[in-house]
Amino acid sequence: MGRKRRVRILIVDDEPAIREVMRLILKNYEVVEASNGIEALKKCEEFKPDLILMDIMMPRMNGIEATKAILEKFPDAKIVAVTAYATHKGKEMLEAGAVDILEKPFGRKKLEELVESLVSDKEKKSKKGKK
Amino acid sequence: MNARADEILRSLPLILIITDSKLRITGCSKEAERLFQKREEKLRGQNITSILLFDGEATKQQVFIAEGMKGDGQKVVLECRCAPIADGFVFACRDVTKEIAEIGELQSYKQFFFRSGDILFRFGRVDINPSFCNILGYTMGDLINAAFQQLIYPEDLQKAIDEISKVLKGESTKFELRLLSKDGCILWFEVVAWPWMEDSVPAGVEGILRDITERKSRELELERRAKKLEVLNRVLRHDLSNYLTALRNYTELVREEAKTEYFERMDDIISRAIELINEIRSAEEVEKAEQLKPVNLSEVLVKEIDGIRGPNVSITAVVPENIIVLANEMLHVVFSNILRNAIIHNDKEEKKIWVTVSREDGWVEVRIADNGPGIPDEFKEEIFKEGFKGEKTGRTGLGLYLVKTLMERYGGGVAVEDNEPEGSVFVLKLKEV
Repeated sequence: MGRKRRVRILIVDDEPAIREVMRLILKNYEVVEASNGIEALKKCEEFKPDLILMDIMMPRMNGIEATKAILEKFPDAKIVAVTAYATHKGKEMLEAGAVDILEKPFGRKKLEELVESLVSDKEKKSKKGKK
Repeated sequence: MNARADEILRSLPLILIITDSKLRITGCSKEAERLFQKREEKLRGQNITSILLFDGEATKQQVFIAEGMKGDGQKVVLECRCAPIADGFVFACRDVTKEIAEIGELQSYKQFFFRSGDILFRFGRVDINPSFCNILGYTMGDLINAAFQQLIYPEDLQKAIDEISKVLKGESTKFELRLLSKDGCILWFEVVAWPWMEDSVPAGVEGILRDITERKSRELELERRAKKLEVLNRVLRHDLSNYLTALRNYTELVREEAKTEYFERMDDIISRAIELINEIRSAEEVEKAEQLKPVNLSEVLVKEIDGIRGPNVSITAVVPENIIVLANEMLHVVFSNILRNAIIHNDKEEKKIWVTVSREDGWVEVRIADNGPGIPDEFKEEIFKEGFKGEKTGRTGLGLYLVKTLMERYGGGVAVEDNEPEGSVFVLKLKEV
């Protein structure tokens, strides 16, 4: 923590206030935003994020459809479902390929820890790869 | 009467009674003794009316029904034939007690069939009671000429065929079915049907049709309400979760860095949460709203227009006085939502609104136009759906969903068109009273 990482995180949520607080909390990462599934797909192609925090209920393309579409193009993408419907919709997101669920309303600590654990997994893997 | 004739008379397997001209018994058959449980000697000299109750005039008829009194006081029904002889009468009777009881029973079943408020039917040899005509408005003549399939609501036809096929294979069944009345109304029935057996062989279908239209409409209304409540609950949970997530995290950020802009964001989120709760309350009121009644549209609309006047808002309204429409006390929700949207979603410095009201062929048309960004064609229908979310705000707008719900309940409609040269026009149609 504290040191600027070059890890890229894509926040996909149609609620601007959620995107803003997430961006403020994850200030040590490079953050990209999208407000729906279609935009998320475009941003994935453009920025190749290391982690995607994906809301479920969004206009145009919801989180489940977006997860499927992203994983089809980028099978290694790491997607976390961010939802108020952890039991019902969360299960559908896991089936679609999400690696974890972050239940709303979440606190700062929970978000930081989740991102940290998933990002460090990636860092470990990439270090192993370099060896 | 000589002894030989007397013996023959007594031995005949018939209930025979002989009287003199004053109807005093002079003789009877053994069968009569058995029926009345009295020996001939005892009966002799008694008036026939002491054992056989009938109108004296009956002797003038060839056949009449009389009530016989047995020795033990039990009554029997007798079909009697009376013939005059030289010095009196001969009565030949037949015990029809059982037959009469059976006819009575049959009549009672017939009455049950004809008087039943439910529809009783038998197909194979077609038989249906008058309730069918009473409930559905057909005459028996209509039924003779109609194919039964024509009476079934088309969507339920296959189900009816499947269920009746089951019965023809020997099973009993119970199902719900919609039938069309003569005036084209759809009525719901509960059908209970079983095989009609003749000599242990299925010969057709018998059953009962009970009109459950009222019960069904209550059930459908409850289902509709439950679905609406589910939507409201989902919206409330989703949007409040978002607001609480944002507030919780801003609170934590404020502990670290008390920036004014964080407080402003928190204020904004709280306002939106309050607005959401107000909308949910409106939605509840819409559900509980009273029956339709004449409402002064002009008064309601003018009040709502006055309510949104403010700086940078220019309103041009042409509202004729005392236009009465079919609505209820929630009509203000329709206008307030559309008028507020025309300002909230308008990005122009001067927010312009035009309101016109016109009447034609029993309908009143209200057009509310704005100079806002307009609504893209792909969202023109979507915006009225439950759970539609604004792309810029991310919040679930219940307002237009409530507008559409109310307008449908009023028997009217709402649609959105493009305004020229910019913005959108909401077109509302209501029935004039």
